[in-house]
Amino acid sequence: MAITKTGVTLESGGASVSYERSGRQSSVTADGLKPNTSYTVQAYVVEDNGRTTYSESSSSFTTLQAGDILLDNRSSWDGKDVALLYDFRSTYPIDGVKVLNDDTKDFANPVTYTPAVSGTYSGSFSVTVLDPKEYVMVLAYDIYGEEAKGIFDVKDLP
Amino acid sequence: MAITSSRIRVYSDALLTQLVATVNGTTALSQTITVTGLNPSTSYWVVAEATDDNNLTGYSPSASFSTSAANYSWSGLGVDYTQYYNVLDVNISVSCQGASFTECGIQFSTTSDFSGSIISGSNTTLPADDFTDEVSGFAENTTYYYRYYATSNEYGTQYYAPTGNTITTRYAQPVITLTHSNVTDTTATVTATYTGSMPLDHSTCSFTYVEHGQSNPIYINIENMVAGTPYPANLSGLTPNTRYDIEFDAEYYDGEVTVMDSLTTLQSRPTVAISGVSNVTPSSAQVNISIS
Repeated sequence: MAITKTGVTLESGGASVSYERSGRQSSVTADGLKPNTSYTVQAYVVEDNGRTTYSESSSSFTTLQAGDILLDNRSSWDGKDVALLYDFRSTYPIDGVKVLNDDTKDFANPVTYTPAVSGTYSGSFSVTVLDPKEYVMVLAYDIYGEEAKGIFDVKDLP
Repeated sequence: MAITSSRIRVYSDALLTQLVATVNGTTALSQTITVTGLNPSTSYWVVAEATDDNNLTGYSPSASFSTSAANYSWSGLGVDYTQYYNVLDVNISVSCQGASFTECGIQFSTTSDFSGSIISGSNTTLPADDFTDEVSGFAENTTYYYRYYATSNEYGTQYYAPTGNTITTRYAQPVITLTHSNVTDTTATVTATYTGSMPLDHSTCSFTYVEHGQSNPIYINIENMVAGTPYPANLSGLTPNTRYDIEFDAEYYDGEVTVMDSLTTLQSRPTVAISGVSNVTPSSAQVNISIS
Protein backbone atom coordinates (compact mmCIF):
# COMPACT_ATOMS: atom_id res chain seq x y z
CA MET A 1 0.00 0.00 0.00
CA ALA A 2 1.40 3.36 -0.98
CA ILE A 3 -0.20 6.65 -0.08
CA THR A 4 -0.21 8.99 -3.02
CA LYS A 5 -2.07 11.94 -1.49
CA THR A 6 -2.78 13.38 1.92
CA GLY A 7 -5.56 15.88 2.26
CA VAL A 8 -8.04 17.63 4.47
CA THR A 9 -11.56 18.74 3.80
CA LEU A 10 -12.84 21.85 5.56
CA GLU A 11 -16.53 22.53 5.89
CA SER A 12 -18.18 25.71 7.00
CA GLY A 13 -21.72 26.87 6.50
CA GLY A 14 -22.51 24.04 4.14
CA ALA A 15 -19.59 24.77 1.84
CA SER A 16 -16.57 22.57 1.76
CA VAL A 17 -13.13 22.85 0.27
CA SER A 18 -10.27 20.38 0.14
CA TYR A 19 -6.53 20.89 0.40
CA GLU A 20 -4.26 18.15 -0.82
CA ARG A 21 -0.57 17.37 -0.89
CA SER A 22 1.11 14.57 -2.73
CA GLY A 23 2.53 11.64 -0.81
CA ARG A 24 2.29 10.77 2.83
CA GLN A 25 2.28 13.97 4.88
CA SER A 26 2.06 14.76 8.58
CA SER A 27 0.28 18.04 8.03
CA VAL A 28 -1.68 19.98 5.46
CA THR A 29 -2.06 23.74 5.55
CA ALA A 30 -5.37 25.26 4.59
CA ASP A 31 -5.23 28.86 3.50
CA GLY A 32 -7.56 31.37 2.01
CA LEU A 33 -9.87 30.92 4.99
CA LYS A 34 -12.32 33.49 6.29
CA PRO A 35 -11.45 35.31 9.53
CA ASN A 36 -13.36 34.51 12.68
CA THR A 37 -15.03 31.50 11.07
CA SER A 38 -15.59 28.01 12.46
CA TYR A 39 -14.47 25.08 10.33
CA THR A 40 -14.94 21.36 10.68
CA VAL A 41 -12.03 19.42 9.24
CA GLN A 42 -11.62 15.79 8.24
CA ALA A 43 -8.40 14.25 6.98
CA TYR A 44 -8.01 11.63 4.28
CA VAL A 45 -5.42 9.73 2.34
CA VAL A 46 -5.53 8.30 -1.16
CA GLU A 47 -3.72 5.07 -1.93
CA ASP A 48 -2.12 4.09 -5.20
CA ASN A 49 -5.08 1.78 -5.88
CA GLY A 50 -7.36 4.84 -5.83
CA ARG A 51 -8.95 4.01 -2.51
CA THR A 52 -9.67 6.97 -0.26
CA THR A 53 -9.77 6.57 3.49
CA TYR A 54 -11.11 9.31 5.75
CA SER A 55 -10.39 9.91 9.38
CA GLU A 56 -13.11 8.42 11.52
CA SER A 57 -13.55 11.61 13.51
CA SER A 58 -13.38 15.25 12.57
CA SER A 59 -11.98 18.27 14.34
CA SER A 60 -13.11 21.85 14.57
CA PHE A 61 -11.32 25.14 14.83
CA THR A 62 -12.10 28.81 14.43
CA THR A 63 -9.88 31.18 12.51
CA LEU A 64 -8.71 34.29 14.29
CA GLN A 65 -10.57 37.51 13.83
CA ALA A 66 -9.27 39.83 11.13
CA GLY A 67 -6.39 42.01 12.23
CA ASP A 68 -6.21 45.75 11.91
CA ILE A 69 -3.19 48.07 11.63
CA LEU A 70 -3.55 51.77 12.22
CA LEU A 71 -0.82 54.14 10.99
CA ASP A 72 -0.30 57.71 12.14
CA ASN A 73 1.98 59.79 9.93
CA ARG A 74 4.12 62.20 11.91
CA SER A 75 6.76 62.82 9.26
CA SER A 76 8.29 66.17 8.38
CA TRP A 77 10.25 67.68 5.48
CA ASP A 78 12.88 70.33 5.84
CA GLY A 79 12.97 71.12 2.17
CA LYS A 80 15.80 68.71 1.58
CA ASP A 81 15.33 65.43 3.47
CA VAL A 82 12.25 63.74 4.85
CA ALA A 83 12.29 62.68 8.49
CA LEU A 84 9.80 59.84 8.17
CA LEU A 85 8.14 58.93 11.47
CA TYR A 86 5.10 56.74 11.95
CA ASP A 87 3.24 55.57 15.00
CA PHE A 88 1.24 52.33 14.72
CA ARG A 89 -1.28 50.23 16.58
CA SER A 90 -1.99 46.65 15.48
CA THR A 91 -4.31 43.83 16.51
CA TYR A 92 -1.50 41.36 16.00
CA PRO A 93 2.26 41.86 16.35
CA ILE A 94 3.88 43.87 13.62
CA ASP A 95 6.18 41.76 11.52
CA GLY A 96 7.85 44.44 9.45
CA VAL A 97 7.55 47.69 7.49
CA LYS A 98 8.77 48.96 4.15
CA VAL A 99 9.09 52.50 2.84
CA LEU A 100 9.08 53.11 -0.90
CA ASN A 101 10.09 56.40 -2.54
CA ASP A 102 9.47 57.15 -6.17
CA ASP A 103 8.74 59.92 -8.66
CA THR A 104 5.40 58.44 -9.62
CA LYS A 105 2.44 57.11 -7.71
CA ASP A 106 2.72 53.72 -9.30
CA PHE A 107 6.04 53.17 -7.52
CA ALA A 108 7.44 51.35 -10.51
CA ASN A 109 11.10 52.03 -9.66
CA PRO A 110 11.19 52.89 -6.03
CA VAL A 111 14.02 53.38 -3.59
CA THR A 112 13.19 50.99 -0.75
CA TYR A 113 13.88 51.45 2.96
CA THR A 114 13.27 48.91 5.74
CA PRO A 115 13.23 50.87 8.97
CA ALA A 116 13.54 49.13 12.30
CA VAL A 117 10.31 48.84 14.24
CA SER A 118 10.00 49.80 17.86
CA GLY A 119 7.15 48.02 19.63
CA THR A 120 4.99 44.99 18.92
CA TYR A 121 1.28 45.81 19.11
CA SER A 122 1.98 49.50 19.14
CA GLY A 123 5.04 51.58 18.62
CA SER A 124 6.79 53.51 15.93
CA PHE A 125 9.30 53.36 13.16
CA SER A 126 11.39 56.03 11.50
CA VAL A 127 13.83 56.52 8.69
CA THR A 128 15.47 59.50 6.99
CA VAL A 129 14.76 59.67 3.28
CA LEU A 130 17.62 61.62 1.79
CA ASP A 131 16.93 63.84 -1.17
CA PRO A 132 13.50 62.31 -1.54
CA LYS A 133 11.49 61.81 -4.66
CA GLU A 134 7.99 63.21 -4.59
CA TYR A 135 5.94 60.24 -3.41
CA VAL A 136 6.36 57.99 -0.39
CA MET A 137 4.53 54.72 0.34
CA VAL A 138 4.59 53.11 3.77
CA LEU A 139 3.68 49.43 4.15
CA ALA A 140 3.28 47.70 7.49
CA TYR A 141 2.62 43.97 7.97
CA ASP A 142 1.48 41.97 10.94
CA ILE A 143 2.59 38.41 11.60
CA TYR A 144 -0.42 37.05 9.70
CA GLY A 145 0.37 39.02 6.59
CA GLU A 146 -2.23 41.67 7.11
CA GLU A 147 -1.06 44.85 5.42
CA ALA A 148 -1.62 48.55 6.06
CA LYS A 149 -0.58 51.13 3.52
CA GLY A 150 -0.07 54.90 3.56
CA ILE A 151 0.93 57.17 0.64
CA PHE A 152 1.80 60.83 0.81
CA ASP A 153 3.31 63.61 -1.28
CA VAL A 154 6.54 64.95 0.20
CA LYS A 155 5.42 68.46 -0.65
CA ASP A 156 2.43 68.06 1.59
CA LEU A 157 4.53 67.42 4.67
CA PRO A 158 4.95 70.15 7.19
CA MET B 1 -46.03 -85.62 -77.48
CA ALA B 2 -44.01 -84.27 -74.63
CA ILE B 3 -43.39 -80.75 -73.44
CA THR B 4 -39.77 -79.89 -73.83
CA SER B 5 -39.82 -76.21 -72.64
CA SER B 6 -42.12 -73.50 -71.44
CA ARG B 7 -41.90 -69.77 -70.74
CA ILE B 8 -43.91 -66.70 -70.16
CA ARG B 9 -43.46 -63.38 -71.89
CA VAL B 10 -44.49 -60.18 -70.17
CA TYR B 11 -45.44 -57.09 -72.18
CA SER B 12 -46.19 -53.56 -71.19
CA ASP B 13 -48.90 -53.05 -73.78
CA ALA B 14 -52.06 -54.86 -74.78
CA LEU B 15 -50.85 -55.26 -78.37
CA LEU B 16 -47.94 -57.32 -77.08
CA THR B 17 -45.35 -55.21 -78.86
CA GLN B 18 -43.29 -54.07 -75.88
CA LEU B 19 -41.62 -57.08 -74.35
CA VAL B 20 -40.61 -56.50 -70.76
CA ALA B 21 -39.42 -59.90 -69.65
CA THR B 22 -39.17 -63.54 -70.63
CA VAL B 23 -39.08 -66.13 -67.88
CA ASN B 24 -38.50 -69.80 -68.67
CA GLY B 25 -40.54 -72.47 -66.98
CA THR B 26 -40.27 -76.23 -66.63
CA THR B 27 -41.65 -79.14 -68.59
CA ALA B 28 -44.45 -79.73 -66.11
CA LEU B 29 -47.92 -79.55 -67.47
CA SER B 30 -48.98 -77.35 -64.59
CA GLN B 31 -46.54 -74.93 -63.03
CA THR B 32 -46.10 -71.49 -61.52
CA ILE B 33 -43.62 -69.04 -62.96
CA THR B 34 -42.55 -65.93 -61.10
CA VAL B 35 -41.53 -62.78 -62.87
CA THR B 36 -39.55 -60.12 -61.01
CA GLY B 37 -38.25 -56.68 -61.71
CA LEU B 38 -41.63 -55.23 -62.56
CA ASN B 39 -42.60 -51.70 -61.66
CA PRO B 40 -45.11 -51.11 -58.91
CA SER B 41 -48.59 -49.89 -59.77
CA THR B 42 -48.10 -50.82 -63.44
CA SER B 43 -50.28 -52.81 -65.89
CA TYR B 44 -48.72 -55.74 -67.77
CA TRP B 45 -49.86 -58.36 -70.28
CA VAL B 46 -48.55 -61.89 -70.13
CA VAL B 47 -48.56 -64.77 -72.61
CA ALA B 48 -47.61 -68.37 -71.71
CA GLU B 49 -45.80 -70.53 -74.24
CA ALA B 50 -45.00 -74.25 -74.41
CA THR B 51 -42.90 -76.17 -76.95
CA ASP B 52 -43.20 -79.96 -77.54
CA ASP B 53 -40.81 -82.54 -78.82
CA ASN B 54 -42.01 -81.88 -82.37
CA ASN B 55 -40.76 -78.37 -81.85
CA LEU B 56 -44.24 -77.05 -82.06
CA THR B 57 -45.06 -74.08 -79.79
CA GLY B 58 -48.42 -73.21 -78.42
CA TYR B 59 -49.46 -69.80 -77.13
CA SER B 60 -52.03 -68.87 -74.53
CA PRO B 61 -54.35 -65.93 -74.90
CA SER B 62 -52.86 -62.85 -73.25
CA ALA B 63 -53.86 -62.02 -69.71
CA SER B 64 -53.34 -58.73 -67.98
CA PHE B 65 -52.44 -57.87 -64.43
CA SER B 66 -51.29 -54.82 -62.46
CA THR B 67 -48.55 -54.76 -59.92
CA SER B 68 -49.37 -53.37 -56.54
CA ALA B 69 -47.73 -50.34 -55.01
CA ALA B 70 -44.38 -50.90 -53.33
CA ASN B 71 -44.26 -50.09 -49.59
CA TYR B 72 -41.04 -49.16 -47.85
CA SER B 73 -40.35 -50.89 -44.61
CA TRP B 74 -39.14 -48.61 -41.84
CA SER B 75 -37.14 -49.72 -38.82
CA GLY B 76 -34.86 -48.40 -36.11
CA LEU B 77 -36.67 -45.12 -36.11
CA GLY B 78 -35.90 -42.63 -33.40
CA VAL B 79 -35.90 -38.95 -32.61
CA ASP B 80 -34.27 -38.03 -29.33
CA TYR B 81 -32.94 -35.08 -27.39
CA THR B 82 -29.33 -34.09 -27.12
CA GLN B 83 -27.70 -31.84 -24.58
CA TYR B 84 -28.49 -28.91 -26.85
CA TYR B 85 -31.96 -27.55 -27.14
CA ASN B 86 -31.54 -26.94 -30.86
CA VAL B 87 -30.11 -30.32 -31.83
CA LEU B 88 -31.94 -33.67 -32.07
CA ASP B 89 -30.59 -37.16 -32.59
CA VAL B 90 -32.23 -39.03 -35.46
CA ASN B 91 -32.08 -42.69 -36.53
CA ILE B 92 -33.67 -44.11 -39.68
CA SER B 93 -33.42 -47.38 -41.52
CA VAL B 94 -35.47 -48.16 -44.59
CA SER B 95 -35.77 -51.18 -46.83
CA CYS B 96 -37.81 -52.34 -49.78
CA GLN B 97 -37.16 -55.30 -51.95
CA GLY B 98 -36.01 -54.23 -55.32
CA ALA B 99 -35.48 -50.63 -54.34
CA SER B 100 -32.18 -48.79 -54.77
CA PHE B 101 -32.33 -45.95 -52.28
CA THR B 102 -30.78 -42.69 -53.25
CA GLU B 103 -31.78 -40.68 -50.19
CA CYS B 104 -33.40 -41.15 -46.83
CA GLY B 105 -33.96 -38.65 -44.08
CA ILE B 106 -36.35 -36.82 -41.85
CA GLN B 107 -38.27 -33.59 -42.02
CA PHE B 108 -39.43 -31.37 -39.17
CA SER B 109 -42.07 -28.68 -39.38
CA THR B 110 -44.14 -26.67 -36.95
CA THR B 111 -47.20 -27.41 -39.07
CA SER B 112 -48.74 -30.83 -39.32
CA ASP B 113 -49.00 -30.63 -43.10
CA PHE B 114 -45.38 -29.53 -43.42
CA SER B 115 -46.46 -26.50 -45.36
CA GLY B 116 -44.16 -24.12 -43.54
CA SER B 117 -40.41 -24.04 -43.37
CA ILE B 118 -38.85 -27.43 -42.94
CA ILE B 119 -35.80 -28.50 -41.02
CA SER B 120 -34.37 -31.66 -42.47
CA GLY B 121 -31.53 -34.09 -42.27
CA SER B 122 -30.73 -36.79 -44.79
CA ASN B 123 -28.27 -39.29 -46.12
CA THR B 124 -27.57 -39.29 -49.85
CA THR B 125 -24.57 -41.56 -49.81
CA LEU B 126 -25.39 -44.73 -51.71
CA PRO B 127 -26.85 -47.04 -50.65
CA ALA B 128 -28.83 -44.38 -48.81
CA ASP B 129 -30.93 -46.73 -46.77
CA ASP B 130 -30.12 -45.45 -43.31
CA PHE B 131 -29.46 -42.20 -41.56
CA THR B 132 -28.00 -41.71 -38.10
CA ASP B 133 -26.99 -38.19 -37.27
CA GLU B 134 -27.83 -34.99 -35.48
CA VAL B 135 -30.23 -32.50 -36.97
CA SER B 136 -29.93 -28.90 -35.81
CA GLY B 137 -31.60 -25.57 -36.22
CA PHE B 138 -34.53 -25.91 -33.88
CA ALA B 139 -36.08 -23.21 -31.77
CA GLU B 140 -36.32 -23.72 -28.04
CA ASN B 141 -39.48 -24.99 -26.42
CA THR B 142 -41.21 -25.49 -29.78
CA THR B 143 -43.31 -28.42 -30.95
CA TYR B 144 -42.29 -29.94 -34.27
CA TYR B 145 -44.06 -32.53 -36.40
CA TYR B 146 -41.71 -34.94 -38.07
CA ARG B 147 -41.87 -37.52 -40.85
CA TYR B 148 -39.38 -39.90 -42.33
CA TYR B 149 -38.86 -40.17 -46.02
CA ALA B 150 -36.89 -42.23 -48.49
CA THR B 151 -36.34 -42.06 -52.21
CA SER B 152 -35.46 -44.95 -54.51
CA ASN B 153 -34.96 -45.06 -58.22
CA GLU B 154 -37.67 -47.63 -58.51
CA TYR B 155 -40.44 -46.36 -56.28
CA GLY B 156 -39.79 -42.68 -55.88
CA THR B 157 -40.21 -40.86 -52.57
CA GLN B 158 -42.34 -42.27 -49.82
CA TYR B 159 -43.05 -40.64 -46.45
CA TYR B 160 -43.75 -42.23 -43.13
CA ALA B 161 -45.21 -40.29 -40.23
CA PRO B 162 -45.57 -42.48 -37.16
CA THR B 163 -48.41 -41.98 -34.73
CA GLY B 164 -47.78 -39.10 -32.33
CA ASN B 165 -45.06 -37.75 -34.56
CA THR B 166 -44.28 -34.65 -32.56
CA ILE B 167 -41.44 -33.60 -30.34
CA THR B 168 -41.13 -30.46 -28.25
CA THR B 169 -37.63 -29.09 -28.02
CA ARG B 170 -36.15 -28.13 -24.73
CA TYR B 171 -35.48 -24.63 -23.48
CA ALA B 172 -32.11 -23.17 -24.16
CA GLN B 173 -29.80 -23.61 -21.22
CA PRO B 174 -30.01 -20.53 -19.02
CA VAL B 175 -27.09 -18.14 -19.20
CA ILE B 176 -25.99 -16.62 -15.95
CA THR B 177 -23.33 -13.96 -15.68
CA LEU B 178 -21.51 -13.42 -12.43
CA THR B 179 -19.66 -10.20 -11.69
CA HIS B 180 -18.19 -8.52 -8.66
CA SER B 181 -17.90 -4.89 -7.66
CA ASN B 182 -17.35 -2.57 -4.73
CA VAL B 183 -14.47 -4.65 -3.46
CA THR B 184 -12.95 -3.29 -0.26
CA ASP B 185 -10.62 -4.86 2.25
CA THR B 186 -13.48 -6.65 4.01
CA THR B 187 -16.53 -6.42 1.75
CA ALA B 188 -17.57 -6.98 -1.83
CA THR B 189 -20.70 -7.17 -3.93
CA VAL B 190 -21.29 -10.06 -6.29
CA THR B 191 -24.09 -9.93 -8.82
CA ALA B 192 -25.74 -12.71 -10.79
CA THR B 193 -27.89 -11.99 -13.81
CA TYR B 194 -29.87 -14.69 -15.56
CA THR B 195 -30.92 -14.50 -19.19
CA GLY B 196 -33.06 -16.98 -21.05
CA SER B 197 -36.54 -18.39 -20.84
CA MET B 198 -35.69 -21.62 -19.08
CA PRO B 199 -37.70 -21.72 -15.86
CA LEU B 200 -35.33 -21.97 -12.92
CA ASP B 201 -35.91 -23.92 -9.80
CA HIS B 202 -36.14 -20.90 -7.56
CA SER B 203 -35.33 -22.82 -4.45
CA THR B 204 -31.88 -23.79 -5.66
CA CYS B 205 -30.30 -20.52 -6.79
CA SER B 206 -27.43 -19.58 -4.53
CA PHE B 207 -24.10 -17.85 -4.24
CA THR B 208 -21.24 -19.47 -2.44
CA TYR B 209 -17.95 -17.93 -1.53
CA VAL B 210 -14.89 -19.25 0.16
CA GLU B 211 -11.26 -18.34 0.54
CA HIS B 212 -9.28 -19.77 -2.33
CA GLY B 213 -8.05 -23.22 -1.46
CA GLN B 214 -10.29 -23.54 1.57
CA SER B 215 -13.43 -25.58 2.13
CA ASN B 216 -16.76 -24.91 3.82
CA PRO B 217 -18.11 -22.12 1.64
CA ILE B 218 -20.71 -19.69 2.83
CA TYR B 219 -24.08 -19.85 1.05
CA ILE B 220 -26.34 -16.98 0.13
CA ASN B 221 -29.66 -18.09 -1.33
CA ILE B 222 -31.48 -16.08 -3.98
CA GLU B 223 -35.21 -16.53 -4.16
CA ASN B 224 -37.58 -16.01 -7.06
CA MET B 225 -34.87 -15.21 -9.56
CA VAL B 226 -36.30 -13.93 -12.81
CA ALA B 227 -34.61 -13.25 -16.10
CA GLY B 228 -33.05 -9.90 -16.77
CA THR B 229 -32.87 -8.72 -13.19
CA PRO B 230 -29.45 -8.43 -11.54
CA TYR B 231 -29.32 -10.09 -8.15
CA PRO B 232 -26.61 -8.64 -5.95
CA ALA B 233 -25.32 -10.17 -2.75
CA ASN B 234 -23.16 -8.34 -0.30
CA LEU B 235 -20.22 -10.25 1.09
CA SER B 236 -18.87 -9.02 4.40
CA GLY B 237 -16.37 -10.08 6.98
CA LEU B 238 -13.79 -10.84 4.34
CA THR B 239 -10.11 -10.99 5.08
CA PRO B 240 -8.03 -8.19 3.57
CA ASN B 241 -5.72 -8.98 0.68
CA THR B 242 -7.24 -12.42 0.17
CA ARG B 243 -8.51 -14.21 -2.91
CA TYR B 244 -12.05 -15.56 -2.75
CA ASP B 245 -13.67 -18.03 -5.09
CA ILE B 246 -17.24 -17.14 -5.95
CA GLU B 247 -19.78 -19.50 -7.45
CA PHE B 248 -23.38 -19.20 -8.48
CA ASP B 249 -25.48 -22.31 -8.95
CA ALA B 250 -28.94 -22.66 -10.37
CA GLU B 251 -30.94 -25.72 -11.22
CA TYR B 252 -33.64 -26.09 -13.80
CA TYR B 253 -35.90 -28.96 -14.61
CA ASP B 254 -33.40 -31.01 -16.52
CA GLY B 255 -30.05 -29.54 -15.72
CA GLU B 256 -27.85 -27.34 -13.64
CA VAL B 257 -25.77 -24.31 -14.45
CA THR B 258 -22.75 -23.15 -12.49
CA VAL B 259 -20.74 -20.00 -13.06
CA MET B 260 -17.62 -19.00 -11.21
CA ASP B 261 -15.72 -15.87 -10.45
CA SER B 262 -12.97 -14.81 -8.11
CA LEU B 263 -11.95 -11.62 -6.43
CA THR B 264 -9.17 -10.43 -4.20
CA THR B 265 -9.95 -8.12 -1.35
CA LEU B 266 -7.94 -4.96 -0.97
CA GLN B 267 -5.23 -4.54 1.58
CA SER B 268 -6.24 -3.14 4.94
CA ARG B 269 -7.09 0.50 4.95
CA PRO B 270 -4.69 2.91 6.57
CA THR B 271 -5.83 4.59 9.76
CA VAL B 272 -6.12 8.33 9.42
CA ALA B 273 -6.59 10.69 12.36
CA ILE B 274 -6.30 14.41 12.99
CA SER B 275 -3.76 14.92 15.73
CA GLY B 276 -4.43 18.62 16.04
CA VAL B 277 -4.89 21.95 14.36
CA SER B 278 -2.12 24.51 14.83
CA ASN B 279 -0.89 27.81 13.49
CA VAL B 280 -4.40 29.14 13.15
CA THR B 281 -4.47 32.64 11.67
CA PRO B 282 -7.32 34.75 10.35
CA SER B 283 -6.89 33.11 6.96
CA SER B 284 -5.13 29.78 7.43
CA ALA B 285 -4.64 26.78 9.66
CA GLN B 286 -2.31 23.82 9.76
CA VAL B 287 -4.04 20.47 10.17
CA ASN B 288 -1.78 17.84 11.67
CA ILE B 289 -2.44 14.29 10.52
CA SER B 290 -1.52 10.92 11.93
CA ILE B 291 -1.35 8.02 9.46
CA SER B 292 -0.71 4.42 10.44
